[in-house]
Amino acid sequence: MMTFPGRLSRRELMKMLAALCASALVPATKAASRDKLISKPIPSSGEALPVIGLGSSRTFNVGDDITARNTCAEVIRHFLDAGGRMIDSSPMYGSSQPVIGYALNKLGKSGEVFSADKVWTSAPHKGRKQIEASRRYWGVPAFDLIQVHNLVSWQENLETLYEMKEAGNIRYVGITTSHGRRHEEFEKVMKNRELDFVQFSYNLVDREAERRLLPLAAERGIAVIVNRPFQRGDLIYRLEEYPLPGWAGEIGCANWPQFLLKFIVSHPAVTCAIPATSQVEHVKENMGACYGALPDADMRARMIAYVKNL
Amino acid sequence: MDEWWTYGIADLVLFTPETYFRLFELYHRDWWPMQLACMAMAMVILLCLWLKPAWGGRVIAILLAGSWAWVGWAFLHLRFAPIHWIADWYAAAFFLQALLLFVYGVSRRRVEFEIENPARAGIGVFVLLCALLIMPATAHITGREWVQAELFAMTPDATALATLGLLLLVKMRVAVIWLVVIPVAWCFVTGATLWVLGAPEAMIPPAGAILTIALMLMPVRQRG
Repeated sequence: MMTFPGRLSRRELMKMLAALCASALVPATKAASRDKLISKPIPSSGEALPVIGLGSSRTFNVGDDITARNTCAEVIRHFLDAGGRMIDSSPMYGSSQPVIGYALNKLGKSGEVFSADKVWTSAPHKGRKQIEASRRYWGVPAFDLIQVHNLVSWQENLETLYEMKEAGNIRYVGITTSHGRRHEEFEKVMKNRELDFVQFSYNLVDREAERRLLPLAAERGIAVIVNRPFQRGDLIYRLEEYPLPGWAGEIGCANWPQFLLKFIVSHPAVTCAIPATSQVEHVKENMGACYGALPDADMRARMIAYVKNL
Repeated sequence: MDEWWTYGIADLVLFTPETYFRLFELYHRDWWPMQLACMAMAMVILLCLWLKPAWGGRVIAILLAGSWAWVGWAFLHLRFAPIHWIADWYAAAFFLQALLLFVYGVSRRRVEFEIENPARAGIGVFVLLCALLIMPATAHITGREWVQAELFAMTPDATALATLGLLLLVKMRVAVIWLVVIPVAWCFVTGATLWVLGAPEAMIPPAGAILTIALMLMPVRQRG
């Protein structure tokens, strides 16, 4: 059959239509997975939490500097807009709690967050007072989660938290540590007390928690919050000298922060990671790890090997 | 705080370098033109050292005591404590130093400027000038704004270093050793803090403290 330049045969037209349909379909599939926020259930309740939260240690401790406070408010706005829920703080973090309260009040979003704070006192009779002061700083009706910070007077402080949970003043109880501190004692508390959450450090180059804490959390049905996912930024600083592997795109990672976060939250026992930042660009990058595919066991091994060989 | 020994210095510095240096900026803006009064105080101290009036030691002690009390209240308590839970303890130490300077320098007149050892006196002048001239310039030299500068009688590091320099110029007595303890301790604390923050000037205060301790261990008087 004779064809003329600029004109299509029926077969060619059908081929083009089929190709058009296919091309329209492929991005739609990708977009669907891209747009679906990854969340994991809290084992004790089944409530789903997005796998990326927001830490506030150092980054939100800006005092009464109004310019810096407004920047923090922008970070929280972008975090919530991207689907984030858990914000974590502590009375130890200086002005971080008032800054979070300032931001939530400014944004009118106090009701949208999963509020996670800590009790940090070696005078347990002051625990309730401290938690109430923290709640007022945040400006929330009640905290979702209170954790015993770094196991400080944990026996007595946990009793206070159990009583508060029983009375409906808080919804979840937990304990925290960081940077490998007091893991043995931490493990004992996990084995012997009823906990909804535990929080500790874990990342691609510090995988000590994989030995005991993470399996124990899975066994006991305890949600895991991972702090210091970037080793306070040092890890990103070190890795940024090197190129991201080409296959990072397969798990939806466009940068090192997403690569590191996806490694953490893809561990079956991890519920969420809480990177801290005071920069809008960084929170956008971090929240990118809440979307797309998560690495499976083989891909996790590949990620470990790649970073080890750098 | 339970198990405080399990914390490293980095665990205790829970603020960023940007926040810390912005603290200086906001503080200087809040108290302007107090800085001019502080510079005038520095000039009075230098004049007292130059002219050596009989009452010079007491005047310098009063000015130093006032500086330590002011920095403790206005900088450490009002500005630093909201972002650093331990800063109120630092402020208490600064008030104690102010009290010691007043008691030993003014009431008991134990701060007498006298060159007992030329080497010590020479380095004392060098440390003092570092505190008055080089410390304020470090912000600019390291790429920060002038308004974030360390300034004698306004901010802690320059005040502590100037105090150490001056104490190297006085007649050595037990009282002087007591007066050195808190400034030396502060120089190590601030050095560690600046080191955690990655500030290039982190070594200046500890170097001043080590120099002071070494010079105080030198013989009281060199006889020719």
